[in-house]
Amino acid sequence: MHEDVIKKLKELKNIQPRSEWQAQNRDLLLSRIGASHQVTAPEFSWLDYSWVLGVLFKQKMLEPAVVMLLVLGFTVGSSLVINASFYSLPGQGLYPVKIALEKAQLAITSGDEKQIELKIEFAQKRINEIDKIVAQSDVDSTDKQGQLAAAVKELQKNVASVQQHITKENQSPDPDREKTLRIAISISSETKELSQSLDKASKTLPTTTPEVKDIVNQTVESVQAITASADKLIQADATSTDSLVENKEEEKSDAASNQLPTATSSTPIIKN
Amino acid sequence: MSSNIKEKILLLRLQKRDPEAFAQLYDLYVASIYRFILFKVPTRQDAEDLTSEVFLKTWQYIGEAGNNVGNFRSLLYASARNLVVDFYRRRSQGEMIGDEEVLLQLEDSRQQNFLNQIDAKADVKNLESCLRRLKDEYRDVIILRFLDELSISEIAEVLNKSKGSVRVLIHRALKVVKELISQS
Repeated sequence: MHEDVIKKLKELKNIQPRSEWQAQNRDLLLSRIGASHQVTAPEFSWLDYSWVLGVLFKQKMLEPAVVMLLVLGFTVGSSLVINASFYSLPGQGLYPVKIALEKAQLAITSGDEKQIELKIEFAQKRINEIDKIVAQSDVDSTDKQGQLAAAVKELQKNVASVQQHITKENQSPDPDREKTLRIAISISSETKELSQSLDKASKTLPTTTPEVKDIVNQTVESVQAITASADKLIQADATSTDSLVENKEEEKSDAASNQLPTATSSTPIIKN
Repeated sequence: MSSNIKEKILLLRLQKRDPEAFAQLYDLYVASIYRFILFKVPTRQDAEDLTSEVFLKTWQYIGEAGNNVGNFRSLLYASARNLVVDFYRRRSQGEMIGDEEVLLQLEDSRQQNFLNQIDAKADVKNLESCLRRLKDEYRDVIILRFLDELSISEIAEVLNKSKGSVRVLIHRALKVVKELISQS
């Protein structure tokens, strides 16, 4: 929608600080932080390294879905089984557990926007499952076909569920414009990615499974229809350049709520 | 080694007050922080001074007890935003005028800057002018998303907003930039 503008904006990356300033400022900063007094390299304990690993682990592994699995796992005392279900594929014994847990996660998630993001994430997982099934070499083609059909069926359910949200927003008699726009933009950006992944996956499907391919094609069309509906809602947003000068009050109250530092106390406010 | 792991290790070394790690993180982010500030202040000199201050304040902040930092880059941008606000506060205190007038003056100087530069033929100059005309929130999301390529989550962290609100801001900011480009 805005690709040409984005391309132009990226040209601004060419703006760089003066290289001599950059080097001089580096030296100045190092002298100000007392680099000259540093005689030995800092020592790191195993605790420090575990902190780095912990942060990385948290980012990569502790996604909400995994956390949910672990919490439930500890509660029922069989975390290994539930964790194993996270990596299971359709047709395998633990797959229904995985789907049930996703439903449970959805049930405890409040707010339309978060639910939509989660549903699209689940749809993306189904596509990953399709990729994995196609890549399996130790499964005979009949089983593979059954697995693919099950994964695509689940995918269709996920997509239909996202469709419901967009229909609801379209039919709302008294829409909250901001909320509708937030939902439409989320759906539009996420489903575009979904559509691309799905398209890629459909090309790798074996030719021996025409009916599965048909369902995948239907799903691609559904996803594209959802994206189109979301884009229509976004286009309806009537904001114009008038907003250049609006919301000054809002900005000020934002600044106040952020407890921005004064000239004498410029401490960053991020807490992680 | 992936850049993410490298940054985490540098951050760990920074927390141990290692100046070499500070220098490496400076080299990694100085250009993007400078650019982020440049579009918010009147002159290059101001942008250079504030960029320098951002790194110094961040070094001090990380050294203070109890300050846990998960994402160094987000911390730099948040610090830069705060220092720009401080910059205009200091100027306003010198002239004994209220915040509102400062904002209006800022808007005026941007308009003037825009008019001065409108004759510039180069696309980059025009774009720079367009960015300067945007309101702060819009300019921030445009720079963070498309120039510095932060993720939606990182931008939400810097601006202290929800991911949904950030997406809406980006959409609206792009719309305004598009209109400004077509006008110029």
